[in-house]
Amino acid sequence: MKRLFLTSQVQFVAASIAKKLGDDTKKPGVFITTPLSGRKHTAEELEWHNENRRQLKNSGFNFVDYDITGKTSADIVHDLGKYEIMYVEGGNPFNMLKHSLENKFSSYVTERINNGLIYIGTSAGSIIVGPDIRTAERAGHSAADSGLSSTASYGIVNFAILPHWGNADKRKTYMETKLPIAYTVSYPIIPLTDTQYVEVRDDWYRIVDVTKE
Amino acid sequence: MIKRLFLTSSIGTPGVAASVYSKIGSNKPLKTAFITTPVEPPSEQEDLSWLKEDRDAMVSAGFMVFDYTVTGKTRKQLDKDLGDINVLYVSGGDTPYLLQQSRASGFVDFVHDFVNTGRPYVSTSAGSIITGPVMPGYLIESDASPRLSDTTCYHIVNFTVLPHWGSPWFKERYLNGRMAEIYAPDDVPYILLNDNEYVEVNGDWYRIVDVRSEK
Repeated sequence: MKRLFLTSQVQFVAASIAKKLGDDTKKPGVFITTPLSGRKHTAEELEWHNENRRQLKNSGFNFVDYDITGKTSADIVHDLGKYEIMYVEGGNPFNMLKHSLENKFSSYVTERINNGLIYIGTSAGSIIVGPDIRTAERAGHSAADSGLSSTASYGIVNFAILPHWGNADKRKTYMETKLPIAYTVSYPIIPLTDTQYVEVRDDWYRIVDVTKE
Repeated sequence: MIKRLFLTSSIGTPGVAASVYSKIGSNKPLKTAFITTPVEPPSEQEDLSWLKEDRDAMVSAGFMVFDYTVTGKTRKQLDKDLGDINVLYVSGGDTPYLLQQSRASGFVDFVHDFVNTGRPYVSTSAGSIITGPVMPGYLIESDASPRLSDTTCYHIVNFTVLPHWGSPWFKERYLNGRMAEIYAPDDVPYILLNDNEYVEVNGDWYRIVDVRSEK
């Protein structure tokens, strides 16, 4: 069964996901750090990332870090085969897609998810499993900036999420850049606040708001 | 029974009605009440060609449609008039007016009881929005729209559909007003739905179907 949890910011919803997974939370997990690896970040910039780690750990997940940058297809198959849960962190989805295509991580993950790998994403990690990442474009984050010729993505789900919906610091980018782009695309779109996530089971899904649970 | 809903943006878009009909999967004629209440306000009367297109598309797909309004009805009348239908269809139009008349007639409870029997609820635009938790305030656009102090909708699903996403006709309204108004960290979930898509609901789960990818 295909099982994904596509979050906007996992720190707010990790406990809810862990509750749904039950004992599966304890399965060996890998934390894909690649969306963060494109540039150096200040400690302040990584506060959200560190909090994501804390809340995943507090919720019972056990993750080992892994960066797909520079890995070969054989490395991916060899290194990731033992994991049953994969978490993909937020960051830059364009860099993530570029590296995914270079070493066929995208095909690998698609096949693994179809065979039962539990997938959890935050922001870029959630966007990337959709049909296309174009709705994530903003200044400095585009296909051209990452050397991509296309924004077509994994296509594991048929919708794109708009993460961090409602966050005050993202309002300007949404109103001026992302929504005008989103209005032109031809696939379904689901805006997600930081307390919401999409739970996917095979071809069906539902939006969970942890403030209503 | 598992609730089944087919929440479209525009059932008249080529392929949508036929897709919904095939998913309902009946081999007998589907007696369908076509609820026209949302188009009753004067502000809706200028051009109802889309309503005809929606109805024609449903008939072509195989639905056996008869028009019906809940305005002025009682719950008892609704039970009598709609008791034997197979499908309930609620059209597009004025959402606040539909909500007002739904409350006045007992149609809200009727819809809940209807979907709980497992019979399909099919809708376009206003008829889809109203199945969500709450009506977006921006829908009170016309001076004729009722000012409702309580904007709670049917709340059969936990999300609100934003229909006609991507349509040139609605672009100005969405990008220069509506989206800014609903941009909040504590709002209900939204699904942005273009006219080729619909949300198929099966119990607590749903999926978005794009009829262009079904061809």
